[in-house]
Amino acid sequence: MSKSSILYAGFCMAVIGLFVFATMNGFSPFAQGGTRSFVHAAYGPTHK
Amino acid sequence: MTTPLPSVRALTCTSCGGTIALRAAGSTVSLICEHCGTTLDATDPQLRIIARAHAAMHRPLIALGMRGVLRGTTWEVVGYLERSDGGDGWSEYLLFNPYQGYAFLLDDGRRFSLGFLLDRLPSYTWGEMELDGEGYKRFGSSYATSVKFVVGEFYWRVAVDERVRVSDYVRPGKMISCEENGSERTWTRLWMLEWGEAEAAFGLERRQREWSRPSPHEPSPYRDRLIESTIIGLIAAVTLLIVAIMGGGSTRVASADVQAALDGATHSEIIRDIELPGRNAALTLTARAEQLDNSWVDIDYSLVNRRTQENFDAYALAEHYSGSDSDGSWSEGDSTPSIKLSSIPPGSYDLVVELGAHRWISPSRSLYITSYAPGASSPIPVTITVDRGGMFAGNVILGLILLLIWPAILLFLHFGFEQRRLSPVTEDDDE
Repeated sequence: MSKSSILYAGFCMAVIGLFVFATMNGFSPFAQGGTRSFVHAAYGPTHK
Repeated sequence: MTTPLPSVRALTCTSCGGTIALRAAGSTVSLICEHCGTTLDATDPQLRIIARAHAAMHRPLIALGMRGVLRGTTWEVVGYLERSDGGDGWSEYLLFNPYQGYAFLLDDGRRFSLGFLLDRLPSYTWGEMELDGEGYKRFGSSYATSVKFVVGEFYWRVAVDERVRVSDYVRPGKMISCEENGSERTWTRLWMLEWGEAEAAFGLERRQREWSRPSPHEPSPYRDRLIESTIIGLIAAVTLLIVAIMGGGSTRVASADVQAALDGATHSEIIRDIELPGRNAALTLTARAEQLDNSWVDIDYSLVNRRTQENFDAYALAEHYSGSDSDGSWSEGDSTPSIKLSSIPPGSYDLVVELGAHRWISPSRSLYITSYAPGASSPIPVTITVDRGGMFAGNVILGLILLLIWPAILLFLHFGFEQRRLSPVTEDDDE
C-alpha cells in the first residue's frame, strides 16, 4: 500500500471518529435551532 | 539470467581505417563505423561500403559495447539509431545477448521501454489487437518514420533515411508496434520500464519523474492509489452509514396538543418537565398542523433549562396552501415542520411555544383560492412533539464528502492522465 493510501486511511479513521463523537453528543453544525430561515421572510405560496 | 557474452571481433573500417568492434558476428548484417559513420556490409569479408556517412557523428547516451542487466538478462548495446516521425524523435538501442538474441531499448526522452520482436502475429478481435489474452487499443493513425542517425551493428540493412510506416497499439504498460516497408512487416512488443530501471542498468543519471506528456503506453501513476483509496473510502463510507443507522434512533420525551388562534393574537403554551437524561443529545421539535388550509402558523420555540435558565431558541413555520388556476389544481407548503437542536445538555426543561396563525389571501386576481380555513376565527390544532436523539442528515452528507473527496481527486487526476496519454487519438482520428 502506498504512503498516501496509509495517510488517507488515517484520515478516514479520524473522520469516522469525529462522526461517532458528534453522533454520541447529538452535535451538528447544520442544526436549525436559533435560526430563522430567510426563505420564510415572506409568507404565502410560491406557486405561479 | 546473466549469461556469458562472446568475445568481440576487431575489424578495420574500409573507409577511415579506424578499428571497429563486431560484437554479434554471424547475426550482424550492417555495421556502422563508430568513427566515421560509414555503413559497411558485415556479411562481406572485405567489409564493402554500403553507404558513406553524411552526418556528423555523435555519441549515444549509452555507449556501444556497454553492458547492463535488464529484467534478469545481461544485454550489450551493439547498435544505436535515432528516428523521427517528422515531429517528435526518439532513440533506439539494439541490445544483444547470445542466448536471448536481440532486444530494443527505446528512449523517448522521458522513459525507456524494452522491446522484443514478435515471432507470431497478434489477432484482431472486437476492434482491438489481442496478444496473450491482452487487448491493445489502436493509438492514432499509422505514421511514417525515418532514420536520422545510426551507428553500430544491426541484423538488418539500415541506413540514414530508411523509411518505415508504423502503427501502434497500446495498453497501460505495454505497446505493440507494427513496422512496414515495401518488403516486410515486423511486430514488436514493448514493455515500459520502471522509472530509473534502465538508468540503473546502464549507469545513467536517474531521470526526474514527470507526467505532463505521458507516453502512449505509460501506465497511470494514479491507478494503484485510486484502487487502494476507493477500497478504503468505500469501507469507511459503509462504516459511517452503519454508525449513522445505529445512532439514528430517537426517543419521544414530550408531546402536547396546543391551539393557534387564526388571525388572533400570538399566545404562548408551555410544555413542562421535559427530562433529558444522560449526555448531550440532539432534540427534534415537530409541529403537526394538518388542518391548515391557505394559512400558516408561526411557531417560536424556547427550550429553557429549569435549573440554569439557559435557553435554546428555534423557529418553525407550518403552512399549507392550495388552489386552482388554468393549469389545474395545486397545493404546497409543509404543515408538519421539524427543526433540530444540536447538542442539548442533559437536565430538566420547559418548552415555551409561541404560536400565531394567519390566513393567506392572494394579492393577485389571477390566483383563485378554492377555500379558506373553516370558520373565520376557529383555532387551528397543532400537536408539538419533542424527540431526543436522531441523526443529522447534514453530518452524514458532510462525512461522506470528506471520506470520498480523495478518491474523487485521484479519479480526476487519473482520467486527466489517460486523456493526455491518448490525446493524439482524439486529435488525429483513426483511419
